[in-house]
Amino acid sequence: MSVVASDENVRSLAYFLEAVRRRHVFVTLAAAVLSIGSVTFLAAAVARLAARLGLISDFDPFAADLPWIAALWLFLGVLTSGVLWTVLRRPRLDTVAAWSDERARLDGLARTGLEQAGRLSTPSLVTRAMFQELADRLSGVTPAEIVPHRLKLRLVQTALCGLAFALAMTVPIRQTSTRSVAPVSVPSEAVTVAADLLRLADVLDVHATDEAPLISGFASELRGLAQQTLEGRLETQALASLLTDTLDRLASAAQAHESPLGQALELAFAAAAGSETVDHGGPQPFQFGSSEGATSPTALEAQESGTTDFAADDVFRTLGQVAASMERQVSATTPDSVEESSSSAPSQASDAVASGGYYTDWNEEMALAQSARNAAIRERGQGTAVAGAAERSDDAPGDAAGGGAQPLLDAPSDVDIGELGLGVDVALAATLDEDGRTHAYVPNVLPGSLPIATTSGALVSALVAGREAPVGLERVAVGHRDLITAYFGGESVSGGPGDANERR
Amino acid sequence: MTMSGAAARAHIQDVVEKLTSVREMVGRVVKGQDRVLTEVLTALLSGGHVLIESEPGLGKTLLVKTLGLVCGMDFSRIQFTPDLMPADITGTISLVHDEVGRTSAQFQRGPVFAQMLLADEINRATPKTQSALLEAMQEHTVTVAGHRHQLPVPFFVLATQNPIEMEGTYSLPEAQVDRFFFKVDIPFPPKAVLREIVETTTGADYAEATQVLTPEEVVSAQALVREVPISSNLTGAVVDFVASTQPSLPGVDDRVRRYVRFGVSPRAAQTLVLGAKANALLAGRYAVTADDIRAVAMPALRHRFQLNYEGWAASVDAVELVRELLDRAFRDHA
Repeated sequence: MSVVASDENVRSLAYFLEAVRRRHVFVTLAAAVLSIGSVTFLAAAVARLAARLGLISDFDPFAADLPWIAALWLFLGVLTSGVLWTVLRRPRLDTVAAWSDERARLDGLARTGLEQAGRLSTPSLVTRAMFQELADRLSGVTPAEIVPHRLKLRLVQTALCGLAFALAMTVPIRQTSTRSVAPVSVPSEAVTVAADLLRLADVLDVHATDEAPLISGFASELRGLAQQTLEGRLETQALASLLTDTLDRLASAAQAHESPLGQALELAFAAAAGSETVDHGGPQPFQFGSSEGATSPTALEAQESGTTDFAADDVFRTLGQVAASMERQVSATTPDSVEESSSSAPSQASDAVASGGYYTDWNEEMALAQSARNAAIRERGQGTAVAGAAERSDDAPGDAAGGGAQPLLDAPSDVDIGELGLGVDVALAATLDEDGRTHAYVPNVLPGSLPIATTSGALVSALVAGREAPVGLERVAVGHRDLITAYFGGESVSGGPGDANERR
Repeated sequence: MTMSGAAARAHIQDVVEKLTSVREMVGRVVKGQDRVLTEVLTALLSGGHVLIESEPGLGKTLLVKTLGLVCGMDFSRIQFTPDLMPADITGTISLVHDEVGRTSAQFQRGPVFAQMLLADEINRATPKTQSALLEAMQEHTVTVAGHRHQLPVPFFVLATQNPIEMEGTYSLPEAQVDRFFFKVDIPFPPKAVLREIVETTTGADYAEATQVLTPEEVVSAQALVREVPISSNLTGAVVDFVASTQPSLPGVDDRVRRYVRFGVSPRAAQTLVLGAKANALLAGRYAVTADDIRAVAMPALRHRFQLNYEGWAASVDAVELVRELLDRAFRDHA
């Protein structure tokens, strides 16, 4: 309905009605956005929390790397919905005039005047008087009186819902207390495999000076695999395939270079092959220096076809063996024995396999780690120590796992990352050197996250479980090392690789 | 010359003030009948005629005489009786001898030639006589011996009929009743008003009315009433209401279909709109509202909306039914 603005009073009516309609559009848009937004944000927050609590599955659109992008899209959707709602509810001018008559008590002047303005070219006497009366009465009326708003309440509601949504967005469950939100758990074998990957990556970093770009790339790749494993983003078979391929390429690369790393890898793979043959009598997933290694059709074809000829347990077990062997070689190549390590390495590996030293390593390491965890838990006053991965694994003597690695379980149990010491708590591991002495260290768990010993007492308690002073400490704060030295009656312990302290 | 909005409003306010003075002046004489006076004045401004139904002695004649005096209109009264002939109303041709002895036929105007006519107890006259008056009401002309005579302007008829003593009466047919703009009932006054009536009409200080308007001003006010605008939604509501009272139309209320003898005529729709305009102007407003239509609905429909025998037997409240239908029409056109 159009308005013929033939008179000043008629124009004032037209302006007033347009102003009321604009205000209605604005208020409706704001109310629609606030209402839809509050409902949407609240629903998204509830859905996200429910997904994290495991109440619903496969519904967490904000689990991506950039959850705020999803939030931005959500806001744009809310805004679009509000605009559409407002456009659909945009009132006509005669409706606005009826509101004005009703709420400003204009006695039907607005609606009648609107019709008369669009109908008559020469208004009658009464019509002119009507427009004059209407203009005078409209001068005391504001559009806010015609279209009031109740946006404050909706604004508060939306703010609360948005706050809840923001909290649900920015507080991952895995970082919250176990008393408030259920912890995120990963299978114990995944943790073990991730630990083995990280250990192997750490060992590769030691050799990074020789083939820095190549080895650093492999170390980063292994750490990436470890992180994906811990986050549960890889299936077992996929992890096994990726791991097989990575280790094959690593073996090929190391074989092509006549370097200490290549020799160490050759020894490690040889030790793993010997152990595998002894324990299981079956083929090894990857073999160093063999035509069936890097170019092994079974590994590549298995990856391409999505299946593998090797069981995932075998792959992971071999990984643990290689990592343990590599660590032992690194421990042996400390500054006082680096000259003789190259010549004695093959015999050390064969001796370790022949004497069953791996089982000794495993038991001692797990005992030390468990003692450290129990001590840390006692320090925090959280009651009974949680059983570690070693207690819950069916680590039968016949299962030859690598140093610190567990055999994979058919029915894996869930182990909290923090309880295993792979998160922010103390993580303590130990190995035996060729002289049968304990060598304790704190492994680097995740790229970018430094393991921190919660207290020196927890660390000492873990060492006490070994009933002897360790011969060396790696990645332990200087203050803690002094405490440990004092605890063992002044018997100093040496630092690990990169540490200037040596046993006196 | 086109009048500005402010001047137009001042002129109309002046008319409204005079109409208010008319009500106040008549109210000094006719006590306790404000609603009746308003309805009668509304019909006068609308150019319609009023049928008053009341018991004797409630001030019908006084009301009409006073209103005629205040408005400066010629007043005439006809007491309808069974032997009253149409010529007694319209007038007759008689032979007249002039001074030189010539004889000529000359039309002698009847009492209908007045600006304000009181047709008292109209239902006591024969239908033939009634129809003569109704023709004058409708056409504002009187035809005698083939000659058409224009009635004065304004022309306002206020007919009365007695609800009691129905013996020997001739009830007005519905078609003729429909020609009355309003049907007004005069209720018996409350005791306080009755005391006031007794005291003021039996003392020495008898209130007398004075003229406030001229007949020309009445005609001008009638023209202003027709200029009062009404919105299309209200017009639509009136049309829908009138249609909803027709029992023969499909989709009407079940009570209308069962209990209504016949629905209101299109003339009723005209009456509702025009009466609402007059009511708005009397109230000093420049546009019709739904309340104006509600205010004139009862006098406009009282003699047009009739129940059938089944409705009477079922004690259907016709007034309530009309209100429901009207409210429904307004809701549909809100």
